[in-house]
Amino acid sequence: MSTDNQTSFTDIPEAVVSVAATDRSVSMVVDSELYPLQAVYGASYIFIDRCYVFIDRPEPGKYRVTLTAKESVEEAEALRQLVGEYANELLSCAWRHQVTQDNRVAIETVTVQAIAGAMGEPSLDDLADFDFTDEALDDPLGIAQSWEDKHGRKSPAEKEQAKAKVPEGEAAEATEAASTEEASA
Amino acid sequence: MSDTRPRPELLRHRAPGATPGSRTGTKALIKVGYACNEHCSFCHTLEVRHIQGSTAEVDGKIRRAAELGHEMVVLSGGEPTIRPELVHWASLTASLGLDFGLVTNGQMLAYPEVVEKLIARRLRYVYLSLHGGTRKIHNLMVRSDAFDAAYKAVENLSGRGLDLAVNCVITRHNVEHLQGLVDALLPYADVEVKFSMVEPKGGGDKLFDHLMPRVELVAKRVMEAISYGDRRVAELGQRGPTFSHGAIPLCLLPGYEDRFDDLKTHAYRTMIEVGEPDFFPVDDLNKTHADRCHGCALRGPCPGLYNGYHEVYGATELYPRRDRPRSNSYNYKLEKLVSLAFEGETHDDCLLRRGVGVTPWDRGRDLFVRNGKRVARFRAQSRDFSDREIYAIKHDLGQLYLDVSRKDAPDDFARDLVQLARSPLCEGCPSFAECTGMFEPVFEDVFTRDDAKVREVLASLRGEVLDLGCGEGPYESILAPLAEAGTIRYLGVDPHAAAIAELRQRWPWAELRCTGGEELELDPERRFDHVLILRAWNHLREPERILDQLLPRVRPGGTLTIVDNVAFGLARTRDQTQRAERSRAQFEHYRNDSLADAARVLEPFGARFGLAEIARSTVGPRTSNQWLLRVRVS
Repeated sequence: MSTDNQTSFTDIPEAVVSVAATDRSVSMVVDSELYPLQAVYGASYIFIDRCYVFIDRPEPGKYRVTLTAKESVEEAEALRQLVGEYANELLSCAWRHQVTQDNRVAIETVTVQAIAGAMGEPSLDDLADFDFTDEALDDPLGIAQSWEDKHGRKSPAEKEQAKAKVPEGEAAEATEAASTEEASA
Repeated sequence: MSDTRPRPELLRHRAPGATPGSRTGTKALIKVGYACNEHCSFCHTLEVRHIQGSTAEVDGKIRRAAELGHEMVVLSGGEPTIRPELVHWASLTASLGLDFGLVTNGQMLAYPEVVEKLIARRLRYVYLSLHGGTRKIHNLMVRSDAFDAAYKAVENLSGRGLDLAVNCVITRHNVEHLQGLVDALLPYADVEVKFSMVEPKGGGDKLFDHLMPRVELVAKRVMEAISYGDRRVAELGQRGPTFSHGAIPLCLLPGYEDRFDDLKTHAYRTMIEVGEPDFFPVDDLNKTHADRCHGCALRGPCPGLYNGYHEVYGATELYPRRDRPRSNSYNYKLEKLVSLAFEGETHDDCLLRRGVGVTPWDRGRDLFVRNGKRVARFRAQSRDFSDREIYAIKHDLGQLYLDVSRKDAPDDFARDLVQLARSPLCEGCPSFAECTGMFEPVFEDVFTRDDAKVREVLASLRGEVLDLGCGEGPYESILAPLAEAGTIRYLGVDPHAAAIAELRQRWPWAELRCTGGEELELDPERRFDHVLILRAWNHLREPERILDQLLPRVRPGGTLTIVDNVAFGLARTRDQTQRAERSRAQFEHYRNDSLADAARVLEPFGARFGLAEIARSTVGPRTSNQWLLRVRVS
């Protein structure tokens, strides 16, 4: 929470809250790097039975949470208690959020496997639409052909045959040319 | 892709049971042939691109993978997706209850229908090549007009619950363009982007000078790309993509050591080339750790350098890390009870030669243990040790033990551990040299037996004794009477305050100092008749410096005795392994030196101090893991 604001609550370190003039509300500025927005929502939700909760963003990187008591507040102590409870709830929500993030993969794994298991075997309707054929894939763009076929290059076996047919000196030149071609490609 | 033909609306199903990044299922890699629709300059299989495996051959290998207990079949090549049998092989794999995976250039997966068909047949894993974030870079690398199709494939595959990795091979041509690939893949949060050093094999060997960047430069650019990618992912508030690296020595990647990625991190167990009769374990034999890597704390998971690279450039770019402690043991976790009624008596009856197979099992990491009629298979997944280290511990040093305790970590070896040795079944077996072997328990307390030699040395001490690393004082029964009789004057040194405090209570006869060996300060005139370094050698950060300080303090005729343990493997149940892996015990060893390693360190001091070896006990099968080296200083 921000240290910029002044507070009348001397036991809250570093002046983290400001008290509105109505004496029924209290505002806190929360550092968004320390507390994710999800944690702010979570903590605020806990208070909606006792307070009206307003959340805004006074400046980048800060959330401001204003708690306005639904019933009149007799003493400043009651407001201080709200601040303390909110701060603890915010920390709890931030931590739970972190734990959830850390366990996300495990939770997804278990959930997906449970759902997949619960779904059981495909129905007959599902099976009717299913393509059971193992036929070769449709390839309108001609992707599934070897580079040598596509570019009309000879295989090593064909190269050997061709080399056997030409005189020795010419074969060496051809090999050198092929290597140069590959290196510069 | 420019295909504009009308297509039926495709339902994008998420692959059930598949989770991004889930890599628990063991994989078998099958090369279906080496033909390819691209012609990468660094192609591994440049010389064999005309060879294709037959349908029947690949069918048989898929069935064999299921028989071996693998959970996924991954097809590779060449390019497996250009084979017309692709859907048939996916169907066959699924029919055997296995998941299906592809190592591919991805072009055919630009067709959405192909992806749908394969996902319906349990496609769960794709390792796709993309070597640049633009047409210019990628197409230059693969010498084909392939970028659009490969990039479309990423789009088709992302978000489908697949384990999806995009591999970028780094050559001189793209080393300065890695951040472009990061930018191109940012929209796909479930992708793992891997940067791999080019291998000097096939085209990478033939065009070595043309392609091979210096590994130090590659590491620098990879760190920059990963750092950039991490930052962009955080700015976008996404959970990915994630970034990793492969085949780059870890000492060149400070801060990114844990991002290493290789066949083992992808849970590949075995692979098979076209024409091979059976599967072989995946290994790192195409890479090497240079001599200067000895004692590096990162050695376990570090890929080292490609052999071909090391031959040309040596290891001058490497910076071994000797300032970090490392593990001195690893676990073999129980995987399967292979037989409950095995009654074989000779190698001809052996399960490994009959059905289970000899070649598919890693000689270091797979462990078969026979106890009576039962045969169990264990597996070491540890990356604290390299494949070569694990092999040496298992076969050369014979340091395998069954953990019969119920503790997180055994602390009384004589009670807690039972040694495992090669079974008599293996005697005379023609497959002995290439087989992972059958092992059996040896019901003998090798620890107490071998420690008797140390006790014998201690009992013979006279005069001033320095015990560097005295620990909790395990030899009290021998040292206390000698000290109390005035036969020895004892100085014990140990960095552990609690151990020294406790010894001060128990050993009023001893002078005790709480300090590390490197920090020990002694009166300039202080001399000793005997220096002991008992099971503390591997705890010393700089043994050379300590010897340099202590040997001048040994009186002529005095001795230096070094005793320590080599690393060892523990066969454990799943519960034991899980408990041990949860343990927060800190590593304390800087090395796992053998007697030979210690002797190498002593060698430069030999002539200067007239060192003469007077006793040695080496480690081997059927000994404990403790060695002893004793020299006289003349």
